[in-house]
Amino acid sequence: MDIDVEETLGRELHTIASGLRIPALPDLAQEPIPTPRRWPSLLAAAAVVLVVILAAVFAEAFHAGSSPQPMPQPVPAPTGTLPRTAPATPYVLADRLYVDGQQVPGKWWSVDAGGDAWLAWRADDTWWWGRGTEPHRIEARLDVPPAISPNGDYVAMIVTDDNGATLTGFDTASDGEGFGGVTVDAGDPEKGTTVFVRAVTDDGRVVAQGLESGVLWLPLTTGETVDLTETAPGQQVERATAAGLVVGSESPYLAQLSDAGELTRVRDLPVHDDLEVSPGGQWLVIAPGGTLGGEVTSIRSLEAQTVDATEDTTLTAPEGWGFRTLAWAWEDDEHLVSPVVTDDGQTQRITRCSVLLARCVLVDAG
Amino acid sequence: MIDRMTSSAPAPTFEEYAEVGWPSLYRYAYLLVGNHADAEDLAQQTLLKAYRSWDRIGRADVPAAYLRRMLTNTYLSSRRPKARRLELLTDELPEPRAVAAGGPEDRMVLWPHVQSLPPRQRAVVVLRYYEDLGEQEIADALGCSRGTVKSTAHHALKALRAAIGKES
Repeated sequence: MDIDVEETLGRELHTIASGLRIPALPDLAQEPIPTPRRWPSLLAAAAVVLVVILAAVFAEAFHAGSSPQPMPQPVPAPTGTLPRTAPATPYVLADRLYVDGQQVPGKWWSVDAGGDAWLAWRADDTWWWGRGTEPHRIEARLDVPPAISPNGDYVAMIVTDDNGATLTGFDTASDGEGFGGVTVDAGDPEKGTTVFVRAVTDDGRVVAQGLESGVLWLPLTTGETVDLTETAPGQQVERATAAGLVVGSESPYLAQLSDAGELTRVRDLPVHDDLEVSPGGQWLVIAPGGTLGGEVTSIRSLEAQTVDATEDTTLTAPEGWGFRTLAWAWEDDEHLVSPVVTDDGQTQRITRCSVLLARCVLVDAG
Repeated sequence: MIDRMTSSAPAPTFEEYAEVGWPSLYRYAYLLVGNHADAEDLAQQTLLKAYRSWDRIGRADVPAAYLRRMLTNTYLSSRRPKARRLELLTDELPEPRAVAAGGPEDRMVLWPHVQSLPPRQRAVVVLRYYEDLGEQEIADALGCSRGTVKSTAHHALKALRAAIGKES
């Protein structure tokens, strides 16, 4: 059929809309109509006073130093106390998944969260995601773990079927609407070249990589793929974070990735076995290189530093406890939460640590 | 939808706005959901949300854009059957839904297929070809990037062309 789709669309939509019989305006008078603000000038005055006070505080701070410094990034002020309430971020404790303080039915291995969304691995080897406590199953065969973007807006995954592997994903904000798919080489597990979803960024770009192959996929813009073995040879993307992509293993660094597949080094990172960046991209916590190998199931301490490496601290689990391996997660830009286990591995609790207070406490959770 | 003529004009009361804005709100809702019952429900939900926040919305430069975004988000976040989740953009449409016989809709070439598009694609199509919005305005309404709008529109048009190609 030979028609101008865009012209026809416009004409048909306008025809339908103009022919509609419009129902009566609903009566919303049962509720009191919000009253206009009667004190805008008072609010404005209060705002002015607040600005003056803040300006004075900052001016005092600058005068106290030897020379003017750039305005620091806003870092939460330490409160002096550590809340013992249940974590705000989803967590798994003793095979139970908790979201918004409520247990999600089932037995679970792990959960990863971004923004309001989460992505969890259930003990029956299925993957689920959600916003809030209702879980949605990812109805596809996944031979490698999916990934969630740091802001939680997107999930990317490699779906396997009889025809091969497809790199695909979906938008968690629109209730799981998919963003298409491209065929990828899944690699060979026996050769150690399996391709994993390494990263999905906050703007929906996807990196899938193995030791011998790698692609950047741009599903939300051009839909094209870029061969990373040509544009970033020898570079292995580890994950997406709020501060950028973590790249490399022997000399890791934070990087920005262009749509052309080029990685630009932003800053060096410490050698690590695990690295997690806080949601606002201000702090990172690492398990230093060599600390998580072998049969290690818990670790006594973690190293934290600001992403710009101007501050650092050590987070030590409460006495008699150890951080359960690879289960820690940032709750916000100050607090890290993690399951902790006793030395005999028999008892589990949740701890909350503050990087500003350099202290961890057990919390009431689970 | 009505827009504020100038930023210095006094904010309309909710009643003033609703009286004039209701028909266009309803038409937009109908084009998204494709039936009167859901359209009325969607437009009414949006109006109710606006009513509760009118103190803020009424002072916006363009209240209509605010409501359009509210309606779009309500539409996209409303619960859909599980089968619609994780749908892939295959550029192939499912069979078009049956429409009521006898009306002008029967003679439409694309409208039946528009109703079978995934919700986000349909929203982009309606915003672009009915509301006549540009990419940035659509991105604002959907709360996404211009690139996402462009990609979504591309997939929608490709799917529509494929659908009518099958019929010929």
